Amino acid sequence: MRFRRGSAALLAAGILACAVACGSGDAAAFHPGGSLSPVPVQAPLPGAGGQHLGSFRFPSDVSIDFTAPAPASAVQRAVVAGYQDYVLSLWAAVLTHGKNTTYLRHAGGNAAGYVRREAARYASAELTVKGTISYNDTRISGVYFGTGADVLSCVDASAFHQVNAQTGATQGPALPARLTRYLENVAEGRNSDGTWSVTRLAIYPATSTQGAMCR
Amino acid sequence: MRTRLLTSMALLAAFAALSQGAPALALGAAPAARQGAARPAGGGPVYSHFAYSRVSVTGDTNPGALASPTAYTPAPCWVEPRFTGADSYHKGDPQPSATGDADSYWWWFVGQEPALAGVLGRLQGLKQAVNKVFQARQGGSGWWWVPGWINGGLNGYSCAWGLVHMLNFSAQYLEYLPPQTGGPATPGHPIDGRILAALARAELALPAIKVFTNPAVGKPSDVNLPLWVWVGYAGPQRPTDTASVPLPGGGGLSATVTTSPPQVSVSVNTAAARVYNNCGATGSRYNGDPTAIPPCGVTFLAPSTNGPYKLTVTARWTVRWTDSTGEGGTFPAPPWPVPAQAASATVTVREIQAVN
Repeated sequence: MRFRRGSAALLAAGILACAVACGSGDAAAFHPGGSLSPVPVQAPLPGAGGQHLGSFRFPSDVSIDFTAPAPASAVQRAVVAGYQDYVLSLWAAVLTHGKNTTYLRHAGGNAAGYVRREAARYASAELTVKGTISYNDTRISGVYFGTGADVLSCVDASAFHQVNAQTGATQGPALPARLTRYLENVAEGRNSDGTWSVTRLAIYPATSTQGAMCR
Repeated sequence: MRTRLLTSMALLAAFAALSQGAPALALGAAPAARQGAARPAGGGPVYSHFAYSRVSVTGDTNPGALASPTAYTPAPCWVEPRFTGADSYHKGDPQPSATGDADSYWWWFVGQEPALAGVLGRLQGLKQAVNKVFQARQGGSGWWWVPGWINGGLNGYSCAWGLVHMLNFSAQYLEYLPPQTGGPATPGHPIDGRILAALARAELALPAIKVFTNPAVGKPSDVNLPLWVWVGYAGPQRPTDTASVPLPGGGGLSATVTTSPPQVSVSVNTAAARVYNNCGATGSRYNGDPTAIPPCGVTFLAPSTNGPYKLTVTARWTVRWTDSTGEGGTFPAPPWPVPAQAASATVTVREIQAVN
């Protein structure tokens, strides 16, 4: 299922489209730690409404895509939602040059530090990001004792660029060290209200042994 | 005592949270986002590839086996005993330290893993209360248990997060429990023979095999001519390894994984063949008798007119474990991988041309 968080309409459209394209409920079954990749459903291109995170609306030239097997349980859905909220809050922080601090609700530990560093790299009003970044095949490799979870996602940032905010001219990859394809591994913890937030982050380039699954 | 401890900690934590506005704890650098799996979580000392653990695995091991974020199937975290009651608290504490006593360890560990529990910004308020908790246990007969986890990827950390919160470690990190042997039904996932055996099994290095044949690999064979097959092992034929953890006050707990003699089998990708699978552990070297049927090998009944045949040789083991308390068992597949190594060779088979 391919969808964008933050837009219930788009999410519903994705589910509906998958129900048609996948043919049966089995196709979208969630297999923890497995390699099942349900038929991705092309998400609608961002319209005038675009994506949003709370009151923050993403620019129409920025697309943050998620493709994931359908989680089988409410807990797994909450874990995936926690990850997607973290991702959206990361880019909201970057796009607002650090002013949007929603990430503080969705990230802790070194994940929060990572968001702060990325936002700091885009502190200048002259810099921003543009394009599409895809978080593909997001899956939960384990939920431990009901309060900890491990999530893996293959990120494709090859079409996500750092641009000059005034001219729109591309200046290079959005992420440092020419990081365009990588495995993102996050640890999540359950909050007292039942939501999940990212507590630790690790990134493995697709060229590394650990990141090989994202080649 | 545990309930009282948690209650007092929670109350003090709540009070401290009100009295401490900004986060005061910035000890210990959080790991960099791109930190490799081999680095210790939180920058603590490297105990092999386990975080905050004194578990070690020795023998025929492949430590890289746990480097992948998804390499390990069982719960990749546990608690292990670290300090006796006699080492709960020493006068003059706390001095944050990974060794010494439980109190010092607490102060060290919260500096290493501030995000693991909700003490950010509350440590100063907790200081006296924490020290009193450990002081009260000084000389007791129990052990202090600490969380440890596998450091490959973040599944170990995720597990530890869940474990710490399930145990309500969040206010103290250390748990004071009577010594216990653990087991699947024991709350808290204390280290035991099963966990150690799983760690040893995960790191066990089965030797790669190399295929030898007569006629030799790369040389053509003939229809109806037996091909003899044997294997070489790039390591011990019966690998074994042991995971162990020292116990407070002396002694230790360990689990050893052993393997059976390997059983070799041969298969080919054609039905036009007669396969001999009495291979034992090493197959059968050519005995010099051109009319003999090999115990391990294959006779191709048709030429490989559509390209070389593929000969696959597989060595399989059975793996068992026993621990230092006398418990033992096997590793069913799944979830464990089938303990096997395979290698292949291509064989060109010619039609014999009779000359009269």
